[in-house]
Amino acid sequence: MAVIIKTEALSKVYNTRNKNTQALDNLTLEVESGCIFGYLGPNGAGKTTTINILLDFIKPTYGRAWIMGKEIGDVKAKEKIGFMPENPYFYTHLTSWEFLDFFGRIFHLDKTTRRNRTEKLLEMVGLKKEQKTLLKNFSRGMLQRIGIAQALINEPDLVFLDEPIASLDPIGRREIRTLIKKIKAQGKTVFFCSHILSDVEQICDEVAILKEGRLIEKGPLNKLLNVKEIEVIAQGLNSETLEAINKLSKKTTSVDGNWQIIIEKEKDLPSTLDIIQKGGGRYLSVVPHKETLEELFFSDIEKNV
Amino acid sequence: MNIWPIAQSSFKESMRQKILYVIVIFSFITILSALLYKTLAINQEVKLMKDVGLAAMVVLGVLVAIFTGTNSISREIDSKTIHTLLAKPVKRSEFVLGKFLGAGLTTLFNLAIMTIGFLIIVAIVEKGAPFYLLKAIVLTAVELLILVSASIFFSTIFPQAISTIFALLLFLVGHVTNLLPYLISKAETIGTKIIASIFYYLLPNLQYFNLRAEVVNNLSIPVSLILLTIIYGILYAAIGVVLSIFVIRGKDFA
Amino acid sequence: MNKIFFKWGIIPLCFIVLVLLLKPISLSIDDIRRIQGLERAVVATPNFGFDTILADILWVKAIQYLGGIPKITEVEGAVIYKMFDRITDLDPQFTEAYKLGGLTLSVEESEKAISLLEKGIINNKNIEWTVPYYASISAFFHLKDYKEAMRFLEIAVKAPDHPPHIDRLLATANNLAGYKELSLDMWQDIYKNAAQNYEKDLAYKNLVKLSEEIIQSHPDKDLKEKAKAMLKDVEIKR
Ligand SMILES: Nc1ncnc2c1ncn2[C@@H]1O[C@H](COP(=O)(O)OP(=O)(O)OP(=O)(O)O)[C@@H](O)[C@H]1O
Ligand SMILES: [Mg+2]
Repeated sequence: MAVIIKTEALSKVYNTRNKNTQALDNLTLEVESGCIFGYLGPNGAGKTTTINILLDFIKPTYGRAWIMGKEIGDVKAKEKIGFMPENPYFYTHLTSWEFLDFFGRIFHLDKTTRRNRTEKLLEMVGLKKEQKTLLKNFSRGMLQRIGIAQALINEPDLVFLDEPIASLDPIGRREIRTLIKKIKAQGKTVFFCSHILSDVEQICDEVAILKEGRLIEKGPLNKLLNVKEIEVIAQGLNSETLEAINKLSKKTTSVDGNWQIIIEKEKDLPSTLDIIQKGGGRYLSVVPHKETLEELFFSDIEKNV
Repeated sequence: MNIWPIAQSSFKESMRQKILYVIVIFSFITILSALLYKTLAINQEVKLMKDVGLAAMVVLGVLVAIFTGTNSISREIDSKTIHTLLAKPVKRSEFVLGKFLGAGLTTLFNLAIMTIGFLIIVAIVEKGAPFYLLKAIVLTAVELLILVSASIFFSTIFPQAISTIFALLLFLVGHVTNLLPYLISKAETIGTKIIASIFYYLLPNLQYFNLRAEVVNNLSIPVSLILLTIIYGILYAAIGVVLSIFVIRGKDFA
Repeated sequence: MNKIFFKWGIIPLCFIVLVLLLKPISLSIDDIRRIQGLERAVVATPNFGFDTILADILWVKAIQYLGGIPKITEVEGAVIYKMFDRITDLDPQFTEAYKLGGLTLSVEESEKAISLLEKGIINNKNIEWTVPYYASISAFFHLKDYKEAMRFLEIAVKAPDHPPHIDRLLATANNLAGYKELSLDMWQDIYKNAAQNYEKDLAYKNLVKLSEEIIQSHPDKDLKEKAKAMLKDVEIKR
């Protein structure tokens, strides 16, 4: 798969009156096309700063970056990019219809295309009924929805979503998650900033974790999450076998006449199963339990303190 | 080119900000003044009405020009709407040009409405079509474009309140630049001399755009003078836009 | 390199070109203004472009002031002159201001009246005939300076719409200033071109009076002959 975003030693220092903030520190990152890329990090980690550099709102203090093979600053690359900002502040003097139509014109779409897309997108984000409402009368959640709609007006290949679902209600969140998956299904790439870990866990293929401007973890989600423990359910164990198992396992409890055995280390599994079989018992299931993203996140953050 | 949609959107924004109220105020002033001066001015009330009308158009025009000028880009930056726009294939130069065009259109539209109202009133009083007054108004229009461009330039560097003050100062000083050579010759410290000289060579001579006395008194004004003055004004406005583009290109929008 | 120039070089280049264009244009604007007499004096009253409005305000104030003074002494004369001088500095084409100022001052402060009216004439190439006429009145009747009066009347008669009595006043002024022959020619012209009977009569009377005066007491022989011939000519035509 092709690399759609590439950064090389990207650094950004903000100089303000009383201090200099290193918002990004030597960020080297590649995002492959066709995935949902979760960009994680606590507040102030530099997520928004990264997007601001990639979209040429601000200049990096050091380093370079490319999007779709074009060095940042090239306006042409933006033809195929969608962006939804972190704070959904838009032209409040326009209605949602006019707002989408306006961006359609920025992309030089013809009238019918604009109408069709506007209609489709309003439908998709659930604002069909509000098409004549001025944006200044929108709630925050509604603004986030229209923000997603405008990011898709040009049918982009790459979409940047900076915390797109932070203010949505649970139903809205599910809708948008489904929507993001749909975008991916069309072969597009989604760069998804968030600190709502459950959302990232549910939809992202790859994640990168950022802390104080430094990349501390990156990779496919299922590889990053370590196996935390393995649960074995077994039957017909005698006390002798149990004793042997207890030496290896973290915890053994009886549940409805079966035994639930929790093993922490993967290498202990074969010998555990061996003991069960030799003692005349049999095991019903073996289920590995992975870390949650949350646990990974916190362990990574703590490691880097 | 993405200039036109941006300009249109800015124009729409100003219209929805009810800037048209300004025009109502203007009409009031002119009509009232016509009634007032009748008692004061011994058969000069028509001249006085024209003077007041034209001056009121300048005052209100300047207010609208400076307000829309300083507002157009700073509002976009402060409210971060610029992010959504610059994420699209919009060059920063296109952004500035679109904003200038939008603010300029707003200002000119406003002036046009005032002009129509004013000409109707004068036509009724004079019982004839007072199109000769357009010569003065066209120059006012160009002057306002300079102010729009300068306001935009100031607002790319300073906050809106400060830009407004600078733009107002530009308007005032621009009308007394012909005093500057005098000031330079009389200046006592070398510092004053230098500052006055810089102002003299940098600032537009806005007095060029004031042919109101000549027009009201029906003097013949050569077309070449009007055309040259318009070119002069457009050059200055262009300089403001070019400088704004320069600043905006180098700016971070965090 | 090319790209960098396009991004950063083009703007300073535009800037320089625009700035370089400005100077010649402003110079030609100044030229045209000078030639057309549209140049303004450096006005002492700061007005920031609101010169006509300020002139109007001062005008209204001047009228109120004039309404409040019983008699014009030297002090008031100076005040009035200053007022109208300022008004016409601000609005050099404000004809009514020259006229009102000139009229008000014509008796007591004739010289000031004349200087104000003359300013109007200098500032306005095609000013209406009343302005030089008012100046001539002050010179003629109050200063008894007939040469000065002639100077203004000659300006007034150039206006195509000036009334016929200006011609007669000019002829009289010439006579009183001692230009007998010129005066004689003028009266003759007036006599020939008079549209109304009473004008013809007036011209006739003046012509006869002047001719007789010349015949009786003028030292120039040729002029005496000319007057005699003219008298004869006029009498025959009658
Ligand atoms: N305009 C700015 N001027 C100075 N410092 C800034 C500016 N913008 C961001 N920063 C600093 O840069 C760091 C990174 O900020 P950034 O907005 O990229 O974080 P983030 O990961 O998006 O955080 P959040 O989750 O809160 O959105 C922070 O320490 C912040 O204080
Ligand atoms: Mg952020």
